[in-house]
Amino acid sequence: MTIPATVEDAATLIVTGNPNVGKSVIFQLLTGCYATVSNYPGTTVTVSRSSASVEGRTFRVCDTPGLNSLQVSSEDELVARNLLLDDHAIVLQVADAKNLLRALTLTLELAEAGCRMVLDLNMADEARERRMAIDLEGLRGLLGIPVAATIATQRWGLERLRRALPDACRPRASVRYPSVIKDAVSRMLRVLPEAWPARKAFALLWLAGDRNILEQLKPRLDPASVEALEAITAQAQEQVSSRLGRLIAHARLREAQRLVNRVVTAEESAHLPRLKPLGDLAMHPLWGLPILAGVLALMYVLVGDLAAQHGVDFLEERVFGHYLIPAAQWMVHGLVPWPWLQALFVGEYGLLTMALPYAFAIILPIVGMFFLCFGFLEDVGYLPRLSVMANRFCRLLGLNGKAVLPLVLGFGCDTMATMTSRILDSERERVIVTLLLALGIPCSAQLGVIMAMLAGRPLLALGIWLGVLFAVILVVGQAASRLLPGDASPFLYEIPPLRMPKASNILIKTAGRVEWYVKEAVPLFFLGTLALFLLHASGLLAVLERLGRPLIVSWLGLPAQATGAFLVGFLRRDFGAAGLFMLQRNGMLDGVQIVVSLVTITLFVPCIAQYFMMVKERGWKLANLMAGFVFGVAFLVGGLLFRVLSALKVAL
Amino acid sequence: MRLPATMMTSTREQIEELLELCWTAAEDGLEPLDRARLPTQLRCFLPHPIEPDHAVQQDTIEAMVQHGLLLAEGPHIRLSEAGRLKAQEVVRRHRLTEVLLHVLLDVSDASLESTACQVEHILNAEVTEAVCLFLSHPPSCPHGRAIPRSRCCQASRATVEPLVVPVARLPLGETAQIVFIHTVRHAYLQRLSAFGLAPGRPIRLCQTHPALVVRVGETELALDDQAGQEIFVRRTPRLAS
Repeated sequence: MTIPATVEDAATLIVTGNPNVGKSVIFQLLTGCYATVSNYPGTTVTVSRSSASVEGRTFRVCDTPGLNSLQVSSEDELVARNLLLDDHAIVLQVADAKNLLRALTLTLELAEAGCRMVLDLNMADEARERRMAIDLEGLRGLLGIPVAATIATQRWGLERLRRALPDACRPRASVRYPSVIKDAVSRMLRVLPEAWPARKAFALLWLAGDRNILEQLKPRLDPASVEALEAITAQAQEQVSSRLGRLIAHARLREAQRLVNRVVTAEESAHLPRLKPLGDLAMHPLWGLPILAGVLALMYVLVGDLAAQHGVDFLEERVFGHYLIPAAQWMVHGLVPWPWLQALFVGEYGLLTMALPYAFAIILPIVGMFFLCFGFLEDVGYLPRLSVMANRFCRLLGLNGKAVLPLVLGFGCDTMATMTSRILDSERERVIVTLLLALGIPCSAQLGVIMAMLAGRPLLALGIWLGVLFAVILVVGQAASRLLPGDASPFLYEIPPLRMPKASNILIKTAGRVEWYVKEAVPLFFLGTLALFLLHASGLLAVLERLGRPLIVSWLGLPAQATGAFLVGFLRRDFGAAGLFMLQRNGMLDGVQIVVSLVTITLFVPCIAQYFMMVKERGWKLANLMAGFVFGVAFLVGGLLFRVLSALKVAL
Repeated sequence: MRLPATMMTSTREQIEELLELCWTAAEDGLEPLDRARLPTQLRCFLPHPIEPDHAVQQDTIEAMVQHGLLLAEGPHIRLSEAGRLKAQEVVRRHRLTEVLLHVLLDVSDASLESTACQVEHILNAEVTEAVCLFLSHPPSCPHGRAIPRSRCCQASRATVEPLVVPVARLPLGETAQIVFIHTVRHAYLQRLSAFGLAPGRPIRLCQTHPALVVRVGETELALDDQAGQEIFVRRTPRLAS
């Protein structure tokens, strides 16, 4: 065995546990390093690493996506599972105190994997609210590991948890399996190499028929061993009518239930949390819809009106138009003698006159407000309820309700949402979601600009924009679900309870996202502006405008100046939208042109960051295919819409 | 009511078969029966053949008349009141067994008959009642003949609601116990058990539209519609006081 005997030798601490139990909060508190925290399963989809000093010792701490079992179904869970099985680390299992049964089922599995661990019963307040009493001392005795209780969001119990970490050890508790499983496992242990740490876990996963474990283990074993293991599994399966995986899962659950019965005492009169009725209404077949409409309306008022109208007006016209830009112009003219260099900073495509106001006066107030609203919804726990509301619609796209999460996150940022597609259960669904995000889901920045452009227009304009997008998503989703092999995977998603949001968490999260926006988007704004400036100065822009004429002017019916907006749209779609916004302000677009250009830019190619995320998640080939497809669809739909609207002589 | 101990077990089965025959004949309005022509009638009425030994049968009939189970009027025989009660139990056991085999186990018609007429002789009152409750007091056998009611059927309010149902058929807000999960989607099933959704655990139906939402312990889960048909739960029988 190569596992270090004592804690001193191992310096990695893995934070694991069921989804949505507060692993990331604990990670934050231990390391002081920011991790996104929300109230829905699937917030963390990658492993974050940092370090923490505990009792004078330094640990490398990993925050991991949540797991219900070592037998996994989605990509994010697989990453977490592999980390647990491969690393000789200490495991801190964070549990939902009120849901001890599920936590202990996982504890028993981790015990089988030979993990040295500490169990933390988090959200102790919610258990208390439900009048549940948990005998910590008893649980410590039964499991043989340190057990702590915390309320992470209030930092309650954190010190005791820290002190318990160095005492991490292997749990004593083990599952009493039916003899057919027990015999098969002991025979498999004779085949599996002694040096492997989590041999028993591997054997059980193999018996349970876990697809990934078979793929992972086979290359590491000699063919004779693989054959032997397969024979043992087949023999065991022959002896029983039920699936082995089912027997294993049920034996584990029974053992966990036995433990729970010994340490949890719940009062007869179950006490329902205050927000429960509201949480139920939010996914009620009847009341869910008005609530959804209310949420959307409120967001429109805050983002589309308050931020995109008043906020942008104030910043763009007052702050930038009256003070900053004249000041910049005055300074540049005074300091820089060459007109061409002056134009670089304060000309039509100047870094200070175009990039800066675009990034900070137009987009920033909009995304800032959107992130704030979104953070609130995330913390309350509203988003998972949307997946219940939209399950049926998702079925039309070949998806299930779980896919609502990445799709809705796409309205925040399509790049992050593309990564969140990892929580989905099949590659087919991940591909469809990635495509729809690239095609028809406008991100907050773009959405804000679009809302601002549509705000002064008749409601019909908004209706047409929405209707066309909806139809395109529906048609493309339907087509993709028919073309891609396989069926929609079964829907299974946990709905967390509604919780009172914490203002500090929302503010920190919003600040973190704004900071990320400034770091990622602003340089691209400068880069795009610089490119436009160079194209303009060299006369290439005019050439491109001439080349693009058939597409932009003849096909889409837009003024030639819109070419620039579409060019920077290759960098970021919101940048492109901001360009259209300026054209509209300068009175260069009529009603039909506004709607056509907005539909086209909404569907337009994914931004650079999203494109690279697509490459990372789906591979070069698929990412390029999707980007090309999206580009084609955007112009096809835009051009057709222009023709239809002109033919019908719609006044917009 | 028990048969006199003097009757041997082998003849008890014959008695029960004859009681069943008379009951079935009465149902079809063919009473009284001609004791001389019973064997042919047995083959006609009973869905299963019995020993065509004429001598044995006449002995059995004689014994049944003596014990007041049958009334004899010359060549004709009919059930007495005591015989009717006894016959009702036998018929009930037979037909309940048929439903059990047919509906739940999907046994073929041929083995349905032969098994049912063996089982009907060995079920005791308690088991019969449990079967009746489990099948939620079915009104008729697979052949469409009425199953005689018993006290357990009359006591239960929920005569038309089956006791074991797919979870989607529970009334909203009701908690029931999971008895089994019948699915070919094994991976899905194993994931469900990781959420604590497994036989023996209480489950509560929260809503069915727009998606199925159930509650198991402190976990609220959204599932697809198919799962609502695959998870079978046992409702707590609500007996009228």
